[in-house]
Amino acid sequence: MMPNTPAKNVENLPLTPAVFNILLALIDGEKHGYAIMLEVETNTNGEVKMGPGTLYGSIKRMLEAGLIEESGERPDPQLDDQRRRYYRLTGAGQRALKAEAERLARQVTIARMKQVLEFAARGGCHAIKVA
Amino acid sequence: MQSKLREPASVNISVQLYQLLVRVYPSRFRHQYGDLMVQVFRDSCLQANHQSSPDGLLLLWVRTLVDTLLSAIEQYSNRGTVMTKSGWIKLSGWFMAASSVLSLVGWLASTRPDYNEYNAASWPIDGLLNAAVGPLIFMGVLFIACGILGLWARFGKQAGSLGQAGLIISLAGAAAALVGVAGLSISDSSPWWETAMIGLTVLFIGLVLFGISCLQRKLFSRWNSLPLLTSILWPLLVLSDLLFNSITNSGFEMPGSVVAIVIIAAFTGVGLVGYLLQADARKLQSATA
Repeated sequence: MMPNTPAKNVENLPLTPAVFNILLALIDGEKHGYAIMLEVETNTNGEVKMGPGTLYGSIKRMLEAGLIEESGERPDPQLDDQRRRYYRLTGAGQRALKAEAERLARQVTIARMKQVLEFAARGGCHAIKVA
Repeated sequence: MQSKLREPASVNISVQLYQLLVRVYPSRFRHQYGDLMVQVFRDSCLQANHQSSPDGLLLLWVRTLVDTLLSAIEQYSNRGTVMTKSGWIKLSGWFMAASSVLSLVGWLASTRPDYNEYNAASWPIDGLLNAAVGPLIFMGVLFIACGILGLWARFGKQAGSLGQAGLIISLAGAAAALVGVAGLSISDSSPWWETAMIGLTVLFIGLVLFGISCLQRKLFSRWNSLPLLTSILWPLLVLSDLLFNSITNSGFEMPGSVVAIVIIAAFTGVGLVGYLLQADARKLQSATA
């Protein structure tokens, strides 16, 4: 069960890309820093590559905002480095992720309504100039 | 227990360098996350080393340097107004000191021939060194620009109009040099090369002006002649080269040893100015504590 920790500033959407991607990486379960980094890279097809500074800077802010928390449990102490710290979503983190995903989905819906993808496929502004 | 596998030397060296680099973060953040960051960096190095050629490790380093610069600035800016300024000055001093190492290593790498397995004069590591020149020099100039911003934050008011003009000129020169170096990575053509060289010359001319102000106003607590002495060498070299060629029209080139001495002295001087700046900021911090 996720504890229902109240989050500060959860209403402050949009989330930064780093925060959104870290929350998204943790939705499947708790992970350590390097696993989060790999998951973000995979989820974004390598477009977002976080360095250690950005990763732990974001983790620090998210811990302070109550979006994530440290997990005391280790998946398997025999197989993993004891020094690693694992993080998991809080209830507030889940709500923030859901709110941000909904916001992005609304944007995509608007983009679809305006046929942005078809417009881009036709050559965008260039097509208008030619027309 | 899982046995610890022996790590490649390139990974070990990279991790040790990164442990030093982590020192640029504010102490509180470093104590909380420093070891974890080093661990993540080690994992990334092992992956880069396992997956690809040495270029993979080099690209990881370039990304990590940019990441360190941006995230360290963010961490300092989160510490409140008073700490932000002295913290930023100290950080920029360290960046300026690091710029010296990056630029000199970049220059040394640029002296190696293009890697070719049939060329007995080229070493296997030259492929890596050839690829490293651009990123190293780019990061070196970027870090000098950070140092100049730190000098402005520390001495902007005391440096007077001459010192201020010098720092602005230096910053403009650094920007031009960055454009030139970035352009060289796209196309190895003359305009980019000239932009980079003119940019570096302007950068050092600006530092000469700041150095004069430094000498007049005793901005640092010691070594006030250092900025002028070290920054004047590069403009003198360029000027004498231009003058000699315009008078004699002989296509004369400065001896390599002279150029090498000037480059080593100029960039070592920049590094020492960075060291002075961070030491000055540390005094400022302890005075305000």
